[in-house]
Amino acid sequence: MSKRGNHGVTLVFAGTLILILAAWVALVELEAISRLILPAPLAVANAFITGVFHGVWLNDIFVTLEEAVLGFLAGGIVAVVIGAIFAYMATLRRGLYPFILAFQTFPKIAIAPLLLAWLGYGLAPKVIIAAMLAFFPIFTNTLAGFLEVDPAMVDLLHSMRASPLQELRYLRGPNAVAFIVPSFDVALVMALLGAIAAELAGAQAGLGNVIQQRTFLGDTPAVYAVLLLLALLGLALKLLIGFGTRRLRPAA
Amino acid sequence: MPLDIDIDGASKTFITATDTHVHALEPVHLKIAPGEFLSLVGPSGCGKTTLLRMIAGLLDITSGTIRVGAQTVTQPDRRVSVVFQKPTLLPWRTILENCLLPNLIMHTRTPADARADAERLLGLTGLLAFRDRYPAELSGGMQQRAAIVRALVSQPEILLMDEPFSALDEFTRENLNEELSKIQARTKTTIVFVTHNIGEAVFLSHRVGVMAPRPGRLGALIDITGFPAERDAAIRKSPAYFAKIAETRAAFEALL
Repeated sequence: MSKRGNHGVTLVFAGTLILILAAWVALVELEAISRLILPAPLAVANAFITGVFHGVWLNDIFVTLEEAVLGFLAGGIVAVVIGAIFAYMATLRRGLYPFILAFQTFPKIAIAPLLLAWLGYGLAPKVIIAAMLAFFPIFTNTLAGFLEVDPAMVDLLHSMRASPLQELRYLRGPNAVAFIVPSFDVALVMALLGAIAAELAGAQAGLGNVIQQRTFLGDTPAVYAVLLLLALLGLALKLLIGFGTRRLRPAA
Repeated sequence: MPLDIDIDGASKTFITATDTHVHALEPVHLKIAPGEFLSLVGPSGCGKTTLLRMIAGLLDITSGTIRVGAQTVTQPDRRVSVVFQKPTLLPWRTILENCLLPNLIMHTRTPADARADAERLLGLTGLLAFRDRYPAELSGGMQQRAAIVRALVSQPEILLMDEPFSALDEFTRENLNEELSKIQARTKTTIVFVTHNIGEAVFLSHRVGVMAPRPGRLGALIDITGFPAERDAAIRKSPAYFAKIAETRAAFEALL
């Protein structure tokens, strides 16, 4: 991209940011909207500093991240294992497909209250919801990674009389990795969504819990601050996984 | 030791989903000598790729038999290497690693031997400096060169090539034709080369098989003699070359 093009991108980004903040300040200053609905930016900043830098929400941040990461890992492992089994067992895949489809299209967050009733207010129901949401992006890509192999490459391996194990090791395995790894960042963000949703259904700690409590107390600046924090956490997780899996991505 | 190929009445009929029989290839009778360079030339639908895939053991033969050396073809043969229309290099392996893949699978040579040979062949095809690059970093012509090196590293006795240069521009193709001829003249590998380019077939081959579609069949065989074993660019300007192209064209027209 040209230098001029880069400047254009920066301009659009900074301009939009300034425009949003200016509109926010203007709406607050003109008292067009109640402060209970739209708090002042400074109040949000103060709540953010108290919550994050003075460590008031530190435990909640840890709890939510723990739920999301555990959910991501559990959902991811199950997705890769089941995806690989399905890829190699066509009958199983076709026979179970209706169930998978039903599970995929089902709004999984809706079972959070039920899970809470069964398992209590602790970690388990949050991890399960997070895992269910993280499962699908990874499962779909695992299946595609093992099955959507260039037929010419399969021919190539056949022409060398490669064994099924060699075909897995040299072709389908690496092909699957190239498909699976890019699904991690979506899955991790989905896991975070699942964790928060489950917390909103009932929790003793976590950022979803903070949102709910602060909303009841009418502490809107704190709610906005948590939302901002969640946006930053999601972004940080996405960047972190992108960085961590850099070496596993296809060179192309 | 290069091997011969004996195609004895091999044919291919596909059965479509609606149960209609499509005669992709009428029975072919053809003997290919050890060390011969034979091209199969014809338009789409003439069955040339079908025949090649049957020789490679990648496609079932409907009737008749194909013999490679002493072996009747029923499955792929490790003495036979195939070069496909696309380079089919694994994108996550470097050029050198791609060239060493056949030996990882077949273990026909020691790793050091295969590596030394791969590097020598990469040098011969001007790819040595690119051995640690990934395929996506190379041009189409360079990728296809690497695919040919990969096919040669296993020291095949027969090389089957399915329109390997059809996706390349004219100049790159001519260059690779000369390189391939050089390699064949030195290794004496038996080569069956499928193409839809009459000039390419005449330039490279000892014999050209002319094929026609509907139904796919092998119509005529044309001997190409009088060219040096290592073909050079000057041949493309010679009257003998044009005469052979005209003869091939006439044989093809007679089939329609």
